[in-house]
Amino acid sequence: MSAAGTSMPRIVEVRKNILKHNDELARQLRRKYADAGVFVVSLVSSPGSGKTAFLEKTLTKLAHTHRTAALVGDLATDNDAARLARSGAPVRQITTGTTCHLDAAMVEKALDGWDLGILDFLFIENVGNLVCPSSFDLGESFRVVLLSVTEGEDKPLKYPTIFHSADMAVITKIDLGEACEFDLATARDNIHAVAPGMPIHEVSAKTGTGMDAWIEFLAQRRSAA
Amino acid sequence: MHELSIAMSMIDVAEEEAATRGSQPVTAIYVKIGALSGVAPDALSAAYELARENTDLANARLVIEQVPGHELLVTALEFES
Repeated sequence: MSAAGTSMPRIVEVRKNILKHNDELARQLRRKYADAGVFVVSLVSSPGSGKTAFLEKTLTKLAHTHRTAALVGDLATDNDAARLARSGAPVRQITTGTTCHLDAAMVEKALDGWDLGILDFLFIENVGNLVCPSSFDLGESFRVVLLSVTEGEDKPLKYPTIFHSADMAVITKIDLGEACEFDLATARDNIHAVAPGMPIHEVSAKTGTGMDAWIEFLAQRRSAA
Repeated sequence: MHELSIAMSMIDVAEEEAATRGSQPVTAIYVKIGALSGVAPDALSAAYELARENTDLANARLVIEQVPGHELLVTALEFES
């Protein structure tokens, strides 16, 4: 109400999602992936958890039966793209500069000129970070969070948001489990405490343990999608 | 520190909305931040101070309401009348 010439500020209700631009673009990407028939898997984890070794093994194994490609995000360098390219799959590096996560626009730009229709799987390796990537939908079909035995069993409790946002957890470097006195049962309980019922795989990219089961799981998920 | 990306998205959304509601300056932006959204309110406030420079929100206060859940919403804008 205004009285005697003074006026009150005008407040207007808006109710708009802060990330609506990213979410809209992610929806478009999701539709594009579905039209192309490509199953898109994103990988998130802290730096040094073995994402790239795990992805390199995954690409190499899938190469026998499927057509794959990968995008890999880092702040700087194309070292990971060079490593992943050894699998024979097409790989593109996204260097984010100072940004601590990928977003849908970066993914869209990196895909420019690629024919998704010829692919069965596209992998997106996010920047190593357990906080920032959780808020940004990339349009992926399936999000995997990695936890290495060297990080300790309580990571899921310390970073619940990212574990909660994922569809599956993979425990990596299990060949080092004993040396790190890693308690697998506790780790599984902690993952399920923040994400009840989430599927968990245990692998070692180095020795190959658990990799065949993971590949089989992926193929099944793709057929079910 | 993805709060800078979040602050910039927030300002984009607010500028868009403000443009459809006339030309008066925005004096405040009201947002809801969910506890499970992965966004830290203090970091968002600090990021907003940097991000708002030279935008339509340069003189707008940021008012954050913390809520449970995953919400990340611009709920209202205040205009000079």
